[in-house]
Amino acid sequence: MKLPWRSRVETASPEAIPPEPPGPVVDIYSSPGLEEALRGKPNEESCKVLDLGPSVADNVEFVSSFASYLQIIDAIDRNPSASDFGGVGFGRLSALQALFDKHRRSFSLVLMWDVLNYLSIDQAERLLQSVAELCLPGARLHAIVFATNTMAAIPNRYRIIDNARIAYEKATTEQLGAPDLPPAAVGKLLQGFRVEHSFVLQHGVHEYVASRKRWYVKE
Amino acid sequence: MFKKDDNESLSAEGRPAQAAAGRSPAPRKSGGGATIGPSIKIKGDVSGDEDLLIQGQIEGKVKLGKHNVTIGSDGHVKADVHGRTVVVEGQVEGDLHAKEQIILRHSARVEGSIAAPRVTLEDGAVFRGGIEMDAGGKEAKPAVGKRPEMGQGVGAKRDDNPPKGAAQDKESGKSLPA
Repeated sequence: MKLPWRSRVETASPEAIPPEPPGPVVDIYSSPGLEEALRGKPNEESCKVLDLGPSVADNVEFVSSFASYLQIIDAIDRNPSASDFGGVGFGRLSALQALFDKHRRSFSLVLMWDVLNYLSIDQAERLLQSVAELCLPGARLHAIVFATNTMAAIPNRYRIIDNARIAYEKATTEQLGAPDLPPAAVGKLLQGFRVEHSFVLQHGVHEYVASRKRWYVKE
Repeated sequence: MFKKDDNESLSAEGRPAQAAAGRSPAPRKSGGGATIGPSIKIKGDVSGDEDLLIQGQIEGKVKLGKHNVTIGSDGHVKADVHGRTVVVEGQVEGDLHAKEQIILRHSARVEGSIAAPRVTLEDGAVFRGGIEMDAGGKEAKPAVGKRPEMGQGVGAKRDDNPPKGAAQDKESGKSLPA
């Protein structure tokens, strides 16, 4: 039965508008690791930043305030079948290796947030070997590693709020089992780097700040 | 008999509405610029002396250094693109060079490098590659940023102005409302 015109107008009242689907949960945490990694950063004429995460507008804007070049890798591939690791895991190793000719030993800051959690040991070693090749001696690396038993099924997006705070955007509440990555294992994975600072945060995250070794020989 | 006007509705600027909407099947002038429609595929170099809207597919090079280039939401470009300003709403595999500005809209998917005095990334845009931030030289320090409105993409729920408690709670990492 057709509703009279007046009634149809009434059904379009604000109460009838369906609610928007829920967006990502956003948590803002302090990041002593980022603060430490940014301390004493090179001046803008020489600072090149390697971000292994996805492109985030705020991060690009933040980095542009002090760097001359930003490389975004988006290493955690959401589509494992398209990854460089044969579909077993995640990662875009070839994107890093493609930089060797032009950017070998040129990056002075690396942002590696959440990456290690989603890679196998073998994948992480290969990735970090490439990262070390691309970094200047003394370059800083800031890593965020979940130290909990579980982690988000879809990697978080990380958004820099300021030089001491990061927003974690969680796209899903689904959880996966997290790999066991104690500090010793992370230190071993960060080949070519020396861990200078580490911070255990209350929300189950371990932040590392490492420095590229002056002399690094690939094993 | 029909008059021509009966068959072809005109846009406000007096051109065919279809062309104005970018659905023209062939390159055509549309209000001071040309449009490559969604059914067009070009292999080779594209150059010219007017603004260009790309809704089709291009493999090669796009060289319009003095003009604006827009890769529309249906556009798929495997090419290096040179323009005065370059706006991306669709997909690009290649390097983007602009004399003034590059804008990646929220629907953009870009793999390549970017070089421009001013770069704007909207939230939701997917970009993999390098951003040269001194493309304009030292005197023209580039402005890299995001659009002020955050109404689309994942960032729509971001709390640009976190509640006062955010700073106080940062040590405990208390969750904030999205």
